[in-house]
Amino acid sequence: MGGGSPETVDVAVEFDAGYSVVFTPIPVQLRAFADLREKCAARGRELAGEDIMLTVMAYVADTDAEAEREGRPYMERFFSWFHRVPPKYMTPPGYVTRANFERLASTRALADAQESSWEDMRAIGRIAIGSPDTVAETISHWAREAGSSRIMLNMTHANMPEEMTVKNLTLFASEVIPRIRTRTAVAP
Amino acid sequence: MSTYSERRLELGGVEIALHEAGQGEPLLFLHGAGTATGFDSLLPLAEHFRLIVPHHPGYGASADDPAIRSVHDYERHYLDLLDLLEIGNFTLVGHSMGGWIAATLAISQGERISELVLAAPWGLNVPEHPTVDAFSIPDAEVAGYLTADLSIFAGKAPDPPTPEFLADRYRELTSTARVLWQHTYDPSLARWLHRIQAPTLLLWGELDRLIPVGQLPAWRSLLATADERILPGVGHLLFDESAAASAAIVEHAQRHAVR
Repeated sequence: MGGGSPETVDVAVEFDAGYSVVFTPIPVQLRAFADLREKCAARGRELAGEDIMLTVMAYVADTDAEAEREGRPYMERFFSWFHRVPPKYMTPPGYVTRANFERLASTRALADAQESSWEDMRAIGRIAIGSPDTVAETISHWAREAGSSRIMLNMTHANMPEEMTVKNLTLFASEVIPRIRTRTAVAP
Repeated sequence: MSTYSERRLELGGVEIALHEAGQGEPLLFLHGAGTATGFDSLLPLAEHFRLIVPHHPGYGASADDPAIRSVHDYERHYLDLLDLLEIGNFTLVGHSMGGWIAATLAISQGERISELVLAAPWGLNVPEHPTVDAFSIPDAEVAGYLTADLSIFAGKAPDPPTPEFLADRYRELTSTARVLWQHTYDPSLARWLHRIQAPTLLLWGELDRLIPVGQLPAWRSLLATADERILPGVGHLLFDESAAASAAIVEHAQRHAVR
């Protein structure tokens, strides 16, 4: 199950499904995971790491500065243009509760016709950007913090050219994944 | 000028807000698919009628009623309300979505309705002058579709809109979607409009961008006795935009006064 609504947690509990939440501030995500864990425990189900799924927007380069110089403009374009879906179309009538609608309408990186800063974007997106060490450390920290062993990656952002995407994927595979394995050291 | 007294009633377990002003023959006003601009513009009617403005379930200060899924459900809801208020005969005015409800109510309750006013009503399918799909209008353009005079929102809609204001509109849009997501008209309505025998006034804003005034002749041709009044320079929210809208109702009532 995936979705930003608190109600989605209840659906995941009901169906014994895994759960993911995107474009929501990390503390809110962690509260949803805790809520999920508690409600599952009440039904006698212990969550595995793979039941908690994190969606990460990643861009890796040789250094932090290089990654930010290369990747950030595309991530910003994703939020400021590609993801600039008016709330009207994200929330057809009756689709979300009032509380959730108000949250969407107040989240600056999601609301219609509002300028959002890089900080606004980082507050709602799990943006892992930097050197292999930085990206590996960021994702490992998030995985430990959330009790997650399943990471879904967005590796191409907005209209990022193919060669940058391939470079990003290649560096992630060769440099980041081994570092995450070392850091998280989850028993198979 | 009169002011409203407000009270809350319970109908079928759902709390309903009711605004009333004035004395005399009851005039039931059924509002359209939103309450953002309020109903003060109707107060001149209270000089001549006992004006009754309920908020539909799912709108304004009334609670949600998940049982309401069609215009016919609203019709039954208002039959319940009329019983509760012990109203026999009455004047019925419906605006926009409320016009569709009013026409539906007038078909089944013809003998109780002394005068009917349909103001820019939803409900008929007029392919040459189609009703705009309200659900697909971008948020930034909604106001321009609703009115020819944006100043009517001054003091009534925050600029820029607050999340709370938007959530209120989202709730009302959701209530509207429950009723007319599929169709903004009732394919059977044309078949039964002939049953309305009350003197009827068709009231429309000349510049209505949501429900074009071009739909008026279709209504007129289907109604037994219909006068019409087109307000120049006025859009869909005709009561907010022009005092002539309420005045036209009073004039029509006086012209047809047989009571």
